[in-house]
Amino acid sequence: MRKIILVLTVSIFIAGLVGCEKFVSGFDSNPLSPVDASASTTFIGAELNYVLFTEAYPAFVSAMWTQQIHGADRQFLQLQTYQTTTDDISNDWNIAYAGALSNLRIVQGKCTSPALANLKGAAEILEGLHMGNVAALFGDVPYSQAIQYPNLTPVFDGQMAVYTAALGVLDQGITDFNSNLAPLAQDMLSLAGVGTRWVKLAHSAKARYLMHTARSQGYSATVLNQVIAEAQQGILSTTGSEDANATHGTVQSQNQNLWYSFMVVDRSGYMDATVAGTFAIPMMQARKFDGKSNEAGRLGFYFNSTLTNLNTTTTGAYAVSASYPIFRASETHLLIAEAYIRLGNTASALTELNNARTYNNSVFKNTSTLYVASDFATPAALQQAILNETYLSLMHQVEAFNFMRRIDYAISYKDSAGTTKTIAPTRGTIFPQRFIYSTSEATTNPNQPAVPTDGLYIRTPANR
Amino acid sequence: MRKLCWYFFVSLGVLALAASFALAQIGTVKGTINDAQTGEALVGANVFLERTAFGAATDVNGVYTIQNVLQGNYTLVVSYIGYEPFRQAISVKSDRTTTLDIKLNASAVTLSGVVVTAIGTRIEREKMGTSVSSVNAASLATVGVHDVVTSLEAKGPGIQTLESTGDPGGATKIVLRGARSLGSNQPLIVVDGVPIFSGNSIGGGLSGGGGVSSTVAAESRINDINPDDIESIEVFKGPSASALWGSRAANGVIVITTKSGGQTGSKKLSVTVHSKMYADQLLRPYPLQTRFGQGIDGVYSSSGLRSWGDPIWMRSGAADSLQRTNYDYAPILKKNSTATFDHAQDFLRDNALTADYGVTLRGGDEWSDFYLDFSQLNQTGIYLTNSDLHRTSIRANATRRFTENIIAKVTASYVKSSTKRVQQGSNASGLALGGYRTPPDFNNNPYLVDFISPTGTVTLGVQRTYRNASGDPKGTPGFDNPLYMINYIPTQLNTDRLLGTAELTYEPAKWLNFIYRVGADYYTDRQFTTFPPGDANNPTGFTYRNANTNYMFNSDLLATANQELTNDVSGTLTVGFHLDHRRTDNTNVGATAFVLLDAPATFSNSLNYTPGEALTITRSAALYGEASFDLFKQVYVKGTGRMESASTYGPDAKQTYFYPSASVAWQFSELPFIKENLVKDASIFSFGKLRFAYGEAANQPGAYQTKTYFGVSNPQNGWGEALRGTQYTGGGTSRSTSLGNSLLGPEMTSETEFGFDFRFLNDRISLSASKYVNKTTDALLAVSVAASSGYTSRTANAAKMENKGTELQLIAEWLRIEPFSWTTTVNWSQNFNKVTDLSGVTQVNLGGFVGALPSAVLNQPLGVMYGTRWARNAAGAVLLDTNGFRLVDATSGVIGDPNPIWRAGLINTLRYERLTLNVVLDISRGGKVWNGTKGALYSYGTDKDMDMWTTITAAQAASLRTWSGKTPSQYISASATQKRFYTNADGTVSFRGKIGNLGGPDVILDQDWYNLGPGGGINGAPTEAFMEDGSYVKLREVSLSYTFPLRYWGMQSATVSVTGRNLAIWTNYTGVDPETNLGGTGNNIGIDYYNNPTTKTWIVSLQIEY
Repeated sequence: MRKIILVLTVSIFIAGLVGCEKFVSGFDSNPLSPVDASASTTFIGAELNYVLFTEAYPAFVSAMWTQQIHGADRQFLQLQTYQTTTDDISNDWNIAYAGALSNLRIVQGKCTSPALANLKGAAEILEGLHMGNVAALFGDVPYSQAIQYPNLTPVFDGQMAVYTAALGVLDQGITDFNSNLAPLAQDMLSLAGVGTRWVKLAHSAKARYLMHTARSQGYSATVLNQVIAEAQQGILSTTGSEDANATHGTVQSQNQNLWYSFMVVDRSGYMDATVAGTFAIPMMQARKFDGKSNEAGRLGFYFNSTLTNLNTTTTGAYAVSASYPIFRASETHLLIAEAYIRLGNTASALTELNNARTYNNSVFKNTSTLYVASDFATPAALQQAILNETYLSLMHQVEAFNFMRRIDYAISYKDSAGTTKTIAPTRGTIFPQRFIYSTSEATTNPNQPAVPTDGLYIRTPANR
Repeated sequence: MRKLCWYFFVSLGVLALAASFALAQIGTVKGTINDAQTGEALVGANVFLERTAFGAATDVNGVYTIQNVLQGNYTLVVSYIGYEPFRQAISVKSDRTTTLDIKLNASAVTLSGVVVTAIGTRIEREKMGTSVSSVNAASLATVGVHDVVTSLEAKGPGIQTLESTGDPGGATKIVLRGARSLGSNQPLIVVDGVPIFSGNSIGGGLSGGGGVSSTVAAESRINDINPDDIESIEVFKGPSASALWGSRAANGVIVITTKSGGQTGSKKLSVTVHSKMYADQLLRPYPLQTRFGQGIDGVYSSSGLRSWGDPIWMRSGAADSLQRTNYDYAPILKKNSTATFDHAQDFLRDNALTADYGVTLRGGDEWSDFYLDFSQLNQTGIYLTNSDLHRTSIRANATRRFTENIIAKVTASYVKSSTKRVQQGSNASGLALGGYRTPPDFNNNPYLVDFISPTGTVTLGVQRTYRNASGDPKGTPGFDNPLYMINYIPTQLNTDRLLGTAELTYEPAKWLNFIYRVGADYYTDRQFTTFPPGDANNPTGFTYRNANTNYMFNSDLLATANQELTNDVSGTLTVGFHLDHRRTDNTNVGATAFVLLDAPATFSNSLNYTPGEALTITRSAALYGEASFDLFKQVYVKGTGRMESASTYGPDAKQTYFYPSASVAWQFSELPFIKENLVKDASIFSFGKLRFAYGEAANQPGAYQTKTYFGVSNPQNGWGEALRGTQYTGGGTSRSTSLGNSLLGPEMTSETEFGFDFRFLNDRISLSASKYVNKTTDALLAVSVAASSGYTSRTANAAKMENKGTELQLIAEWLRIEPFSWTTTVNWSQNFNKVTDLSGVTQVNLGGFVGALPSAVLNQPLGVMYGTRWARNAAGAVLLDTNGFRLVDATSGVIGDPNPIWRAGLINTLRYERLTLNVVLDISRGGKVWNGTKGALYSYGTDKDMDMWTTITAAQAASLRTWSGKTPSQYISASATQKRFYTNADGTVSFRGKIGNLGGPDVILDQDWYNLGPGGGINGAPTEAFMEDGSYVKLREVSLSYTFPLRYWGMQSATVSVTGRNLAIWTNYTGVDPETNLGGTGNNIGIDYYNNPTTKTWIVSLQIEY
């Protein structure tokens, strides 16, 4: 009997030693999830992440801080008066990098054949457009070492270097897309995958970011001429037909306009838009006093009839399935206009300002008439008009905040009595100068610079 | 592998066959067991032959019979709660009956002398090298709870429980000897030797349990074990005792043994009818103010979000004046009514009754026994409707001895349970959120109105809330009216569960047995929730269906040999082989936008629906063994080892891990020198044991974390905005932001424990103490990764954690004057947890709110609150603005530890003849709770603390400033119609608020500070401002029970008991209950944010035995 027990015990051991690992092997892959995906579907995924970053929370905050909307409740009441902590932006910082940039890089990595140069180009163009914006908002950010596993703690590059790199990747995107202008298989932007339209977007984006860097170079003729050169190859159609927009549908939490989703579905009451709570609404109301402008169309497009909130009806900017602008032709024209006026070329500047007004008449059903040279007593007056129009043309976009910081919030309007009204901070005496860094990066990447207590008010290098 | 298994079973079969040819020589042992003093027969005493499977329990006459015992010499052991253990050597001869009548002496020790081990065998407690807490059937019968975990509250040192909700079937959190994991710290639950599913029922759309934003209170699947069926519960608190369960045992093991039949003497069948009636009540209502109305700036507003309106006592008391007369709920122009309403209680019902009844049949003879129980529980929650728990439970346990050495045992249980739950937490439909925020002058009735427009158009059945008091269909509800929510937003979970074991024991020789045991646990959990159109969360309506199917199969083959080597040395060797297979399968669909608003909320009535699914299969296999030696009848040495593989480890990691344990128990009071001199007649020192144990065990990682996956792109931000790849041409995919880890392995915990058990004064006083250190290395951590790397997290064996603790238990029988006795049990335990390594990550979020995140932080206890703080300078002094108000820091930090400093249970048991009074106090000292509910209600102006009315002098009115920087005089002169500051005839000024001092000059704390500034939680108060001490003393249980013989109409006895649970609480915590926790049973503790409140309960129980 003891022998049998011995045999039995030994056999249990052998069974155990040999069998344990075999019994458990083959169950380590999730049966419902793939470990790879195609370049063209991943491109859509990258676009969705890009759009969520560009259209939603950072745009809400930008709109509050440029007083194009008003924080009315809860955290948005705090944000309205510049009370923000590093926690607030963590989610969107993660979307910007792990969502948008990461998937754009995956797409680029998969597009090795010339047949996919168009897709590679689109991914590069979107990357440049995105990273220029990220640098504008946060200042120094990770880029040269970003998205390069196994490096989990990329260094933070200087803001100016990121601009340079973003301009470089936009150039690369233009080159790649031009080498194969076949339409993309899929595209969630209104560009519908058309190569020439993507290239125009790239040129407009280059003009925008060159202008971002111009202030630190004293608005030198060199950089202003580059802005003009790029912009003239950009999105210019005054009918809006070349604009880049994010497209939306009616499905809750899936493809609705993200402003509609916030204002109606998710966080009703957190923000509103009143005459007293905004600068943009009284500014648009007062425009008619110049005798040439009628903003009724644009005012009604963005805001409701009682001027208490955004227009979320079917005809409004924030209808459930309304498209959201990524880049409007008016911005390109105004970039050219600003460059010309800073170069002293008032005639060309006026032409471009009028192009933007034509765009507004066409797209928003404004009924303004065109300005003539005598409408502006001085070049400075024309320049102010260009800046004021840019402020309104970038309505509810992150770029409005980038723009306002670059020009030190120097916008104004004249009320019915002819008194000049300027924008004032909602609390204290200074305006926000950036988005502060996120907690999520602070706790994981020792390379992130510390945020001083008054960090929100420290200018990014481009605006010093 | 399969071939090897077959080979193994064939070997077993051959062995069994061979042995059955041997001629069996068998005898019988029988006798009676009586109380030595009273002579009363002891019913249900356990009698067994040491180191064999032979055993029996005494019947109602105190008679026991052990049949078919192989010839030989044995040690007979008797254990019975409340009596000293009994041992005697006996000799069993072929075809003879050995008779042994036993008289037991009463003992102060109320613990059973026998412990069921982690693998289902029995061992005498006095031989154990580890401390094990036990709860028996008698205690469960009076404790009066519906689930196992809650019954363990205050019952032993080192058992930390958190009863976080009063909702029916709400899950109670349990942690043994501190957290060892950043994941689940729930111990493994083993029923009749086989592990079962014991997590919470959760699902995406319901998300009960897991996340802080859980919309209903979690339900634990441990609830499916009917306490009426339980014979005993043993709690093995850490790896030193639980290592034999290897990679599932780092958090300890709770071993549950269900009841068995047993011989019933002359009667072949005994029938017990048991019934209990429960009445639940709210433990403590949340304190709300009733003196200031809806509105802002001291002015009433019928659409006001907050309650910073007019002083209600200044109103005329006449009828309200309405905007129009064609509609009773038209907007109020002038509020005149002084009526107020208690929104902390207006959603309660008067009688939340529960009936729990059933019948048990037990019987048996010398060849077989069986146990059959049917129980039905119908519980009603304390809310008006849609809150309940129904459980139907059937259990059959049977044992059959086929020949003298083959025993088959089957246990099987079917449980059908359904529960309805109401919304809670940070949720616009939450009961308390909508309830407590409602202004005191708003009547939540009616919650549904037929709206009449100014032009007379009628809209039927619109929700009416304080933010849409007219029920205007064009308006939005803001928050759901709690009465509407209770009636129209049902959430239901339906579970059908089958679990059971089958076990075959074969004893070819007296010293050898084989056990093959399989266990299966299968349940479906179907969950439903519906939000009608017009609800605050889902304007177009939402319905969600979630179906989970879970299956677990465990197989264990055990061989045990024991041998007396010499007179003084005997040993036992067990070798086992284990396989398990676990499968979870989930399908769900969520739908929004109903086409027909008054039709049922079905998918076919919906414009949009989103399906989801999940499937996991995990497996593990192990070879294990245990060797124990009894040396000189005083030293007991045990060693165990387990080699285990699992499917969840990364391909580049080690595949097989070894989990050892060793323990020594030394009954030094058996040393001849001590026994003769110190112990003598036991009147002073009667027993002494020293023990030491070491063990290693682990937690497995979750399934499928070793690879990086791609999926449908679904980015979403923190506010609810989201996009989904399926909606765009051709579809959009994204790479998961969670980085797969091919090096993933189990998280290993090692534990060292030492302690002693002393008994004095003839065992009337016993004292046990244990100290332990457990260390988790390679703790699994979803390490946050810098998003700039392309990922946001990676699960890795990246953290280290340790617990150091002390456990004391004192059981003292202070008084025994027959027939009266008074026994006190004190359990005291202290645990210090520290996170010792986080791989460089500063803070890991365990699930909370922005600004109030329970976290893992280096060198801090797990779960510390990481949140926003008051701004301080380098010296730690609070920074003030120019007017003397505190500033908020832009960065977060550690602001409090929710873990208690120590916990204690104090149990007093008084007996007078058959009458027993049991009083249990549960004491928890320390532990911070974030009272986020209060913080928010400060902003809303409805908290009781916001009931303030202060009069100041004219000089003060001209000098003191509010948070906005203005003085009252400035407010008064700025507007003739302002209502925040009242100038009295004598020039003094009265206002709603108070004078405070925050470290600088005196300031006015009023609406500006609480509603606009950082004095209130919603608009910017740092989390630190609402951290409170969560110490408490709870009167957990008071029970009075009486057992009396009742020999009429075939009855044998009857037991009547009255129990009160959670009747009183003593605490400085200002919320509903310091135990409340929105994190449910997770590691995210200390979060009080509109959780559903806890309850107190009265229970009357009657049990009649036939």
